[in-house]
Amino acid sequence: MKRFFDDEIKDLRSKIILMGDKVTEMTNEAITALIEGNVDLAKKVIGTDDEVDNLEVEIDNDAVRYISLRAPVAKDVRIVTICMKISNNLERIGDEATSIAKRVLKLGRQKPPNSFLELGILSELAVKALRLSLESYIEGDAVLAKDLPGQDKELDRLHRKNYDGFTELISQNSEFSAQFVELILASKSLERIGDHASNIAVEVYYLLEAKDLRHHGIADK
Amino acid sequence: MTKTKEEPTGAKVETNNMSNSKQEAAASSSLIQIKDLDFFYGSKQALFNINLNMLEKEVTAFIGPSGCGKSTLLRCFNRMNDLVDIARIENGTIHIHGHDINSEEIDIIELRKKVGMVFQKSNPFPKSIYENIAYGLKIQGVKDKQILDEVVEKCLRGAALWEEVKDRLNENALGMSGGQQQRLCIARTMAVSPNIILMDEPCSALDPIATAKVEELIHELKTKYTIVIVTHNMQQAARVSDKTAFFYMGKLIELGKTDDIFMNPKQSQTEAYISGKFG
Ligand SMILES: Nc1ncnc2c1ncn2[C@@H]1O[C@H](COP(=O)(O)OP(=O)(O)OP(=O)(O)O)[C@@H](O)[C@H]1O
Ligand SMILES: [Mg+2]
Repeated sequence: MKRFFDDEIKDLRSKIILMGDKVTEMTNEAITALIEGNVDLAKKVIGTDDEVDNLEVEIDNDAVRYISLRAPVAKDVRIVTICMKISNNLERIGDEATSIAKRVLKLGRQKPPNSFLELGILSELAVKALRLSLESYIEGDAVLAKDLPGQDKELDRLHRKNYDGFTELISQNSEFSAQFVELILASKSLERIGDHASNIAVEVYYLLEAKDLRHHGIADK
Repeated sequence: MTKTKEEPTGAKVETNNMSNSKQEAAASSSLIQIKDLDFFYGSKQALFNINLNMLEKEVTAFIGPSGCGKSTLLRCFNRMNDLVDIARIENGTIHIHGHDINSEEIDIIELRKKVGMVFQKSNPFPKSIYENIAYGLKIQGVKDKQILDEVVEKCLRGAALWEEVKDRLNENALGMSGGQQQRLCIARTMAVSPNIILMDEPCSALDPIATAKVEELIHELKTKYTIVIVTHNMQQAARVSDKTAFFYMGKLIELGKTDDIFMNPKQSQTEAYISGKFG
């Protein structure tokens, strides 16, 4: 039987999907801005962050309202509480994209660095992880959600490679030292975006299967 | 740019004026207005200085512990308390559509047509499903079979019952399930075209599915009617109402938007009651 407040769950879901679209676009644009030295694009990313923050607040309010007024049980409770956790991770992703964009502004007046090492591939994998985590949510795909956290190791590896590589470049007394420091931090942001995408997948898996993959769960796999 | 010092003060006064006039506007556009109401059964006071306005096409839930006066107040709105000898309003007024319903000129039959009531225990007449709904109209002198058929169908549809009973309209209403009987009583109330529907614990005898159906129905009905519902089920109040009024020992403790009452009540007594930590 359909209840009149089922639409409130649908609205919550739409807001998560909208928020997911926004932070995916922000991440893509932040990386493009970084590699192309595109200050205008970076400013656009920074401008979108407020929208994402507002969506997080809205989702939290809607979820608290739903729990207070609709007396959900079983899967409905997971649907609503997981919305809050997913939106929290998405908001952090938005923050990381914004921090990359702010590095572009900082670098804006300086000469573009001559090397990005593995930043390009790392950003592709981070965005892919984010897209897949959202897909697992939208499609209700438990298999996808369960597999995703395992793929995070590759992002960690690439970030470590970047870290070592840029550190090496800096120690060679490079004219780009200041730029490379910013690139290390951007690399860290991408690695964090991957972590948040994994967190989202873990929440989606819990939503769908009521099983907790956190901590021990991942090791068991 | 310079700002004069008077500006903030002036603005503040204006805001206050606005909110006052807004309050008055809200009161005068209210469908039901209760002012300073004191109610007694014999020497026992059951309601103390109740002030409450209810807007058109809103659902207001009355909640509070047993004996706090919810049903008493509800029965004031269609003067059902007239049937109790020792009952009397000592003070205060109730206006519906701007008319003082306790004044001499009020036609009680007319009032009860406009203010329908659904009781805790469904009480269909021991007649056919069809007759249960047509009865009120027949008493009013409506004889045209086609009009009666139309009203019966419209009300049964309105009460989300038509699909379940359309093939057995001539069967006795007492053979229906409890949930169906309750929806039939709601349909019967609708037949005489009321503006206001009062419901006193309409779901307390129903199972969760029948309850959900009645709640869905209330949600539909509020596009047409003003509804006041007494309920002991907090989740029900939270789900179906726009405003919630919490009563305790004959006093209105808190009235507010249902969202506010259930998410962030102002009074600690309200919070204790709705979270089941009372007493
Ligand atoms: N007919 C009556 N004669 C005398 N006293 C009455 C009568 N009806 C109600 N009362 C008293 O008035 C007070 C309010 O009763 P009322 O039925 O309005 O409470 P209620 O909030 O509807 O309670 P419940 O939740 O149990 O239905 C109670 O103390 C009750 O004993
Ligand atoms: Mg009662």
